[in-house]
Amino acid sequence: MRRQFELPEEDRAFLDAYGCPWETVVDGSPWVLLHGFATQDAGYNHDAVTAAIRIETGYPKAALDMVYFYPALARKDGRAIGATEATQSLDGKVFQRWSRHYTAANPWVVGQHNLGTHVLMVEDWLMREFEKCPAA
Amino acid sequence: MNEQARPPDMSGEELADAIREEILEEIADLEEYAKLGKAPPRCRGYRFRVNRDRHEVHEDKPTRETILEAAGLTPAGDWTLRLKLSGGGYELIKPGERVDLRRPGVEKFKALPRDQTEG
Repeated sequence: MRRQFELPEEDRAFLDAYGCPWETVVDGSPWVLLHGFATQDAGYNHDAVTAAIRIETGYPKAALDMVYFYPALARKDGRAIGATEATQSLDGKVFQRWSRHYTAANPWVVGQHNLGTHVLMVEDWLMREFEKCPAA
Repeated sequence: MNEQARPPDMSGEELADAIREEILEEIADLEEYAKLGKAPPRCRGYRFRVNRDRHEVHEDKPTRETILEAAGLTPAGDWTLRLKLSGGGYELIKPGERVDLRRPGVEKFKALPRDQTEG
């Protein structure tokens, strides 16, 4: 597993405990890749994917944003997944971008949010897709 | 309670429970017990962190909703709640699910909002 840049200790501890093989890769920006990331719901076309999170300049004071998946996820029932049309070339592959953003009501809070909390929110984004629109 | 005072119909195990309940009536801080690698005893209350702040409940198997309410995070449906186990990962607590606060290793909780937007 590649370690092309260093993460804060609390992020490394989270990732080690999380259980997915993970890498840090620099490809234009610094990225964290989590391999074998569970997609949380049997309604997707893949049970596990690689999840990529861009480490924004200034992190951990700067907010993380969105998530990218390879291969691209689709619903088995054929319904479209909102705000996933954009793609990102990364590490020689084309990742699907899930455009999801923190809100003004609950923004990124320095010292409270980090890569670990972002990964847990990514899990929730995957689950919410089928809560708001159950499988047909 | 000594051997002479034991009611004649009380087993050793019941006696141990009675002693435990008699003595351990304070608040258990779950993070402290998790650091020690011990299960917290039965207490009057249980203190734990939800995110950064500490809160208490007075039952050993509260629901997800009780924990979120104790932390002032309502309505509960607007939040996810995960249990952090010492040395382990985060377990998702489902709506209506009860959490055994006396389970060894229970350390703290992480609550995250569910209002992130698409687009």
